[in-house]
Amino acid sequence: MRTMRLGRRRWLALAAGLTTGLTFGCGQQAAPPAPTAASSGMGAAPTSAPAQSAAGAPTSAPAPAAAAQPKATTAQASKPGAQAAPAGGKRAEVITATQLSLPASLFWGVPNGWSNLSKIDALTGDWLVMPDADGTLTPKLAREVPSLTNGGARFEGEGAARRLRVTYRLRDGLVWQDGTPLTSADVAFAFDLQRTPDFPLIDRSLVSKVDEVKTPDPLTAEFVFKPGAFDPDFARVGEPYPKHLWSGIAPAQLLKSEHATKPIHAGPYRLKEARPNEHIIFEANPRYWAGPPRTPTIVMKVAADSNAMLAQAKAGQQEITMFGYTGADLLPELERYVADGRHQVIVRPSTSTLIVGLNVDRPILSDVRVRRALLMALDRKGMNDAILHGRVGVLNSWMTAASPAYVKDLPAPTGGQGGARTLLKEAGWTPGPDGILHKDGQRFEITFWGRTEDRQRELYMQAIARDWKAIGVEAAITLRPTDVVFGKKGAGVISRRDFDAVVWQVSTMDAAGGYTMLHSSQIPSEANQMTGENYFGWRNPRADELLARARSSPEESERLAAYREHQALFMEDLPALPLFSHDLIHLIRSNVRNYRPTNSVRVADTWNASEWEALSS
Amino acid sequence: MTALGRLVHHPTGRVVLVTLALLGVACALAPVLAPGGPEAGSLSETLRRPDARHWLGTDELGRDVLTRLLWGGRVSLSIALLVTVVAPAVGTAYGLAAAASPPLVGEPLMRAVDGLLAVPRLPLYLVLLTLVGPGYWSVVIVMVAFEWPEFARLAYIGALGTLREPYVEAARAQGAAEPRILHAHIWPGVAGPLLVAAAVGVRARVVAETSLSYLGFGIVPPTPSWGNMLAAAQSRIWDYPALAVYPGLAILLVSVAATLLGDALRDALDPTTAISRSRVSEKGVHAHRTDRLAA
Amino acid sequence: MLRFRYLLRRLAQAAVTLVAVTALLFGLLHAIPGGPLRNLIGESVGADPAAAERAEALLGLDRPPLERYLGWAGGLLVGDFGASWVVAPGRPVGPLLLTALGNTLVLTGTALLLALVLGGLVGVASALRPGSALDLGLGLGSLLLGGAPTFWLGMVLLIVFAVELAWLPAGGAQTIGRDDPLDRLRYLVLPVVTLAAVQVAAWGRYVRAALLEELGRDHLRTARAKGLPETVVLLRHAAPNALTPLVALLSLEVPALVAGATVTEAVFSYPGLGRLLLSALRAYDWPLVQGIALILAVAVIGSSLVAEVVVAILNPRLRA
Repeated sequence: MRTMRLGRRRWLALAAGLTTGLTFGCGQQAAPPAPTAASSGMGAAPTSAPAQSAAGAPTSAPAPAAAAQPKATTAQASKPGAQAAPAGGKRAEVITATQLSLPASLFWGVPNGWSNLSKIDALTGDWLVMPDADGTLTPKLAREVPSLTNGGARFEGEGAARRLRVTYRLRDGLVWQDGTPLTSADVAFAFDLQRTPDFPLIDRSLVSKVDEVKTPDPLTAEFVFKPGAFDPDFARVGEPYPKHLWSGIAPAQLLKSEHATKPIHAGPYRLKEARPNEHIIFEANPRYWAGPPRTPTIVMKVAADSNAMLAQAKAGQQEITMFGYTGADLLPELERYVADGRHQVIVRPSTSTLIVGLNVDRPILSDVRVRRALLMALDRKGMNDAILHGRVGVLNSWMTAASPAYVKDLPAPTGGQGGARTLLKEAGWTPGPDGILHKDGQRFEITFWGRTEDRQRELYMQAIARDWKAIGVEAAITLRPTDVVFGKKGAGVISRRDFDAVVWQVSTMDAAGGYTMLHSSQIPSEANQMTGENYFGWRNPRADELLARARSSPEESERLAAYREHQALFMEDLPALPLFSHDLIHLIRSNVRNYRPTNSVRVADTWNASEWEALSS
Repeated sequence: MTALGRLVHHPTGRVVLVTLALLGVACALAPVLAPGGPEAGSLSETLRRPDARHWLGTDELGRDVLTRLLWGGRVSLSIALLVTVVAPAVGTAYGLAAAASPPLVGEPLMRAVDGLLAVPRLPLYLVLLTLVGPGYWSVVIVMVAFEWPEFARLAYIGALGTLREPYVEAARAQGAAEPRILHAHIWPGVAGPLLVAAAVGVRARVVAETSLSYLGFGIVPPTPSWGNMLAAAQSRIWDYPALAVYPGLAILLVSVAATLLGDALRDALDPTTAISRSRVSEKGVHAHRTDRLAA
Repeated sequence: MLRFRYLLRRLAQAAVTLVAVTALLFGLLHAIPGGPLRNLIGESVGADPAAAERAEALLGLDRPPLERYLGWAGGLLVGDFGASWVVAPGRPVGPLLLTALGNTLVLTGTALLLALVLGGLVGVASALRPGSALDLGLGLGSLLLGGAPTFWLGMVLLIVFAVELAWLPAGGAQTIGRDDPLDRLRYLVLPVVTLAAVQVAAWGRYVRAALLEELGRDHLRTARAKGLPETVVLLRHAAPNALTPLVALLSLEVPALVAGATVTEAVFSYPGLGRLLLSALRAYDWPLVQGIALILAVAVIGSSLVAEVVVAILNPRLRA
């Protein structure tokens, strides 16, 4: 027995040594991504039988028919049919993309936030019409985008009874990913479901303008709007839901059903395997109307933070790295990394802005001089240079720099920290013995909210708190999960207006967005059932008026003038302190083709995933 | 020769004591040595390499690294020390009380404590800190709350063992009161292992606090702690990798010193074990357990 | 007969403890302000007011806490651990836990094995020649290794081997899409080494101390008198006696197997129970936290119960 014990130990040591040796040996071979075959790093990814190889084995019936269809006019998302790989390259079997988070629910019937679910949505789904990277609508399941010019949309009737009628004609031979034919009945079903109060659809503004949907034949769906109702976005009112799958389930239960974990749609990829918080594997849909996508398998995986993403990119674990704005502080390192040409960095100016929202109803912050002083004290350029390496600009507006109505040259209060102290003194605040400002026995202490798990923002908050401390303002940084801070309808701290200052990323491109955020009627209250987002509590009648003009005035010059004056007012009153907008950063291997990320919240980065390919050599 | 005397004459004991003393003094004097505070710095001087003004360079917000190490040391070390002082005190009181009371009371009391002992610490700390929120006192209270059981156990077993010794019975027969017995006879026997456990545990406590701060549950920025400095440095790996080395080295230094101190104390308090370096029985098991913190 | 009643009594005590712990945790968690999560509704503009109420009903949050606890506990009996709120909204907690637990056990089990083997080797080698250069060198090495905090060691290994040299992957548990053990092994190397490092130091010291103490015993004099070489004396006669308490020690390791790799998993993004706990706590995903806490409680209570029972079976005197 004792000999055995000794022997076992030696044997274990030997086994351990062998294993370690083997591991390092294998590790060496599978090492850094070769500039050639992108697939070598991934090994033989098991793709299921229907996935087509790049060589172009025969596809199932609908695809050749689709290939034969004329698609002359519009910019098609993906070319028809199985194509041979371009000369000089073999296509990889798998493309892996890494990002910071994957969507919560995969139930695509309810758009669940902008960029994350939409990414998955655009991989698995095709709608009747969808926007491309520039936001132009292109026909997908429909043969053409209904518009007033091509007769797809027309007004009928006269005067008060004038109605809009939008007609969609579906392509021939469309099927859902499980093979069931997709017809206009699915479109009508979608409309009925969206009108059901139990169905958790968020934005009913469009569908509530429609009176009824007619389906004269399986390939035609007509949306008849209510008399007098109109929406410039009318072409997006129609969408199909799988009637054969969803009709048997109570609408409120759909989010809990298997359709939230294994969605079936009609797009280029279908879900193969999903591990929450880790990865989702997509395989090509052989029945896709436009022909099988170029890459048989796409993997979307998650990394903890931007550094983990970069480390994994360097270790060759993915072809595409979607940093988003978190890549902005890594830019110098990324540029060093791509210097050898094996990778590329793609930069898109973002449509979102970072601001420090202030609760102007709090006594401490109600004096505009105080708010101006708080902005004066900030070294925004310094933060920009230090944290973002000077790449993005300091913003002096509530609109994003990418917006056409953004006014670039508005002045911000100047004066630095000295000026800030003077202004605060004017407002009655004097330094106490501990360096913090006092007034009538009250210390200048404010709460400063932000969300957890965002290192870049934590850094800003520390820099801001430090600048404020220098003028005698004590800001207590409190970080909590996103929903605790930003939950809607009173669930979150800021929608309860239970804050002094908050770091907030907003995405306001136009007056409609500005309305929700800055109009006095949108301060969360009973009147708007707590759905307003004017958390600052800004009430400025002139600003309200300008916003209305910017939105509805028929003259472009008037609209622009209104925007300008509104933004100037904003910079004077400062219900929020604007910081920066960031660029959106992507890193790809040089052999990846057709990856075209967008900076629009309406279009996901995966809008043309069926065209993505990674070529060897 | 007293225990302290033996400790000082012990070769490693001397070195370790001096090191720890220096470190402790430097951190305690942080307000004097680095009067600007841990926040002072300018955004135009971020991530500088070491130079005459900044001996270890600057971090991602332009703050001097050495300054933050000192101030962070104040935090990390003071927490470890506080816990090292309070937890044994609480635990010993509990354990002695349990030992002195009749078995019917003492046994269940110790059973409860044993239950607490078995729980893996770090997940427990994480959950509790989520509940009470991160911060200096949260960490101290949470750690004390789960560190005292092992001292209670040590005290209990030590006291029980000693209580059965004949000289205690003799003292009782002579009419000595319980408190005097506790003080004069029980305490010397119990004190040794307790001190050793306390000293050896310093390492575990420093590692625990820094781990919690690293994960974002302990000390949160802007207050510096060696743990959260490491976490921040991790995101600057590409620009200034050495930034991550300094806090780690500091923790390593304290860990090693604390472990050596524990060993030296052990030898000093009980010269008979100097050869074998640790006892395999209650003490050995205990020493082993405190060596390994849930990582 | 006596054994059986004793066993039942201990089981009953364990069950009561389990209920108490979970109820306490449930109460504490739900007392935190910060409400249930609206992930299912999303962040878009113009939220439908009634939708928020529907989401609450969906998550079962419109009922009082006691009812919710009983509902959760009742669900446990049929194997339903509830559904996650944030980390994987709507998805059942049970399978998430199982996958994560499996991953963690692989990690900690391998690390423990490695640590035992290496620690044993180190301890034996040191005990054979106490005071020699080898002994001192190994001692110093294990001192340094054991003193380094896990997250620091992990970070350093990550940077050196995964980033700079790119020999090994930089995080995760496996190459997605592949399911073979050898691939998983590559991903395990760095986390296992990190986790085992501290343990090697501890086990090494323990084995060395145990052996040295044993070596001083009288009964070995006979063995030496017989002319046996020291190695044999140590391994065949000293080791078995010295290492018997090892069994008791190992039983204390079980809870650590389940929960002991939290920091390592964080550094390497390894999808185990520790990382799941961190995600759940950071997102205030209480059903997930409760599920993990339950697993931990079962591991702790279960292992101490088993250890006690085993000891009781082996030593009838202690059963009274």
